This record gives sequence, structure tokens and C-alpha cells, in this order.
Amino acid sequence: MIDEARRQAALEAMNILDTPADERVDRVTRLAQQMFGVPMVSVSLIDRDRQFRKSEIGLGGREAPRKDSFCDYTVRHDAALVVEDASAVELFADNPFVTGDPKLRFYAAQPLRAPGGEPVGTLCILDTAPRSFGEADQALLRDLASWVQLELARDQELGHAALVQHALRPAELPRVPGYTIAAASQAAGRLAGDMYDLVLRDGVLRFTLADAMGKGIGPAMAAVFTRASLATAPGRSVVEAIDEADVLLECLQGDASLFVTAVHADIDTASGAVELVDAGHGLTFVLRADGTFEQLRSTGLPLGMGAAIAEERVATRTVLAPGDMLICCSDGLLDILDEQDPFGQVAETLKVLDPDGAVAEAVRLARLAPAPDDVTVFVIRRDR
Amino acid sequence: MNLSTAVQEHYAVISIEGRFTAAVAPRLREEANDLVAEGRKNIVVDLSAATFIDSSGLGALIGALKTARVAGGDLRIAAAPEHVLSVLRLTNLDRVLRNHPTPDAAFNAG
Repeated sequence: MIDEARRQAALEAMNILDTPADERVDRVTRLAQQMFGVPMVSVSLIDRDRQFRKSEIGLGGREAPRKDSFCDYTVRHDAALVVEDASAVELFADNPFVTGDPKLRFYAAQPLRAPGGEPVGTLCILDTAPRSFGEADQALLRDLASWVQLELARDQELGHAALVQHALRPAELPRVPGYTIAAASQAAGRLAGDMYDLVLRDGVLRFTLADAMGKGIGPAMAAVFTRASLATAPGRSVVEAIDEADVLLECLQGDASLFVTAVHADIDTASGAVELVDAGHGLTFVLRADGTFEQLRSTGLPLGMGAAIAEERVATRTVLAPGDMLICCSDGLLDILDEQDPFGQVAETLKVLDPDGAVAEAVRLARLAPAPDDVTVFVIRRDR
Repeated sequence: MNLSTAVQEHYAVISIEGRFTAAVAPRLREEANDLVAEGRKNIVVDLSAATFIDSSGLGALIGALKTARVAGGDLRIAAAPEHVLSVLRLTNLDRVLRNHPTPDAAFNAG
């Protein structure tokens, strides 16, 4: 018998309970259904007194009681279980799932284990009619279960990576007298391809947005790396910091085919003077107190173009007067705004809502988007 | 997707058909490296039959541009679809990765 407390802890550490359906796991259950021609397939995780089905076909629900379940039996014994005709097996003949709904007769399962080996659930196939299930079938089910196990573990790895990325974002925004600052980031998947930073140092508010094109682990690593590079040695000017990031990132283009664009800028909070370097990002705007929009774009190329292509970087300058707002976003925001009049929509939102409310609205729209992209946005308002 | 190369007198044309994504990106890089190694430093990537280009495709174009420029040549693109042009404009890359209506126009027009 296995140690239930240890098993439960291992399951919880995987962070998969009550998570949405995942196409990578659903693909395996669909395949199992087609290969074995069964009406019901489930990836069941045994959680305290219930089963949580990460994926299921034909069972009509993502939760079921643990008590008396075949999957509980499989997990407790930590071994494959094949019941060709439950009504003919003494142990299961009186089981409520056999005598009552769904009137199970056939059940075959392979335990799913946590990365530490603890049995946390099953991949099981079920039928209301008896079936025979030979050695070859069992080997096939075992292979499919290993696949599911890999996908579940990968999910856990992604979860760890997402936590690290989250920890690298500013835990709290700097408080600057006379300014209101709001920022948020919403990843399309577990990891975001963009990173931001806002730091106050000796009266200068330095902000950074690094956006790696594409989604997933590679772009997330590139974005995190860029932000880290830009945050190092804060005494450098923004142009120097971008120049040095250029050199460090040169290997990314071409070999890894990753693009990173960035904005790196200083606001002198006393005077409102802005010094901004734009590396192919192009999405920084100033909404003046009188309602006019200005795009703060320099003509700089994305990071890491290499000596054969690179050009000298030049900073763009402006001044924030009281009532002016600086808005910086990733291109994911463009996809969710009104195509006809994105600036109008941003201006209107910022007129009705304060910076916090407007940023929250951007996150809300990002969550609703049919084809989600990573969205990062921040707003800095000079109040007085 | 299909990638084919045609060598002209003063330049070579790499034509990409179908989806230009991570699956094809390394092949473009290799093809460009091979051409440059043979001394063919002026390359046009013909995108007229490309249905879709993602960031990996764009990355490969930049990588190949770098290879050509380092060798003293250039890489230009022809007949790029609108969504590619808009990404190039947004990132300021339109200044270094120039689009031309046809492969022929890319080098003959200077």
C-alpha cells in the first residue's frame, strides 16, 4: 500500500487539479478512444475524496466521487488493472458503478505517476460491454499512459517557470509623489513573451518593456533575459544599456530566430523630462492633458541586429507636463483594441477610468480575446 | 511548404511557397549560407507564394540578411504579403529589409 499523505502532496505539487482542459492531454485520450474503440476514456487524478478528470471522453463530467471507484483501486495498488467483465469478478460485481450507472463491465487502467514516482491518477478506458484485453493492448495503454505522464510533468515545469517569471516582475510599483503609475501583464499561455520593469532611483523613474515576438518558452526566456540585461548597472544611460543589450542579444537573431523589441526610458520626475530609446518597439505614446496623442517613436531597430545591420541608437525626448500621461504597451494590446480607432478607445478609457482602471480594462479585454496574445501595458500620469 | 532556389546572373532567388514558419526557417538560413559560400552574396527572397510568415520566418530573414551583409552583399525581399510589411514597419525593419514588387526589380532597380 502506498503512503496516502505523500501521494496527495505529490499530486498537489503538480498544480494540475482544477486546471482547464489541455489539448496536449486531450489528444492522447482521443487517440486512446480510437485505438481501443471504447466509449469512455479518462485521465483521472485521485484527489482526497474525489476524482478530477484532466481529460475525459464519454463520462459526462470532470469530477466524480473517489469512493468505490475503479481508479481509486488502481491508484491504491499502484499497478495496472484490467477487468474484462466486472459482473464476473467477485471484487467488483457489487460495485455501484457496475450495478448502477454507468453500468460498467470493462475497465482497463494504467497508473499515472508524479515525477517522484507517486501514483496520482490513471489513464483508463471503460465500456458498458465486456471486452477482452490482451498483452499487446496492455502494452499500448502503458505507452499512452507514459505519454500522458510526460505531458502532466511538462505542465508542472511550465508552472514553475511561470512562478519564476512572475517573481521577476516588479512586486510593487514605485510610489512617486506627483505621479500615478499603473501596470499589468496578461500572458496568453503560462509564460509571457513580454516583460516590464519600473524602478525609481534618485528621482528618476526608469521603465523598460521588452517584447519577444512569438509565444511560449523560448520568447519568455528571451524577454526575461533582456529585462535582466537592461536592469543591470542602473547607473548607465538608457542608450548605453540598450547598446550593451544589443551585443548580448546578437546571438538570438538568426540562430534562434527570435526577435526582441524593447523600450528603455528615464523620466526625471521633478521636471517631467523623458529620455527614451526605442528598439523597434514603437508603442509608446503620450496622451496630453488636452487630449492629443503623440507617438514617441525613434526609428531604432530591434535588439541584436549585429554589426552588419545595426545603426547608432539615438534617444527621443519629450516632457510630461501636469495632466499628461505616458502609455507603453506590447503589440498584443493592438489586437484587442478597436481596429478603426485604437487611440480614441485608449483616450476614452483613460478619460473615464483612472490609470489603474484603464490597465485593468486592458487585462479584461486580453482575457476575452478569441486569439489571445501576451499583453503588457503601463500608464504613468504626471498629476502635478 | 516548398523552398527553391534559382540562380540569375547577378543575384540568386530563393522562393518560398506556403507557410514560412519555424519548420522552414533553418532551411532558409542554410540555403543563404550555401549561396554566400559560393560567392553569391546578393539574394532575393521571393515571398509572392508565401501564405503566412511568423516570427521564426522573420528571424530567419534577418539572419540571412546578416550573412549576406557580412559578406558584402545584401538580401532583399520581393512581393511580401501585407501582414509581413506591417510587422517590418512597426519594428523599423522595413529600412533594412527592403521589399520590391518582383525579384527582378529587387536588384536591377538598384
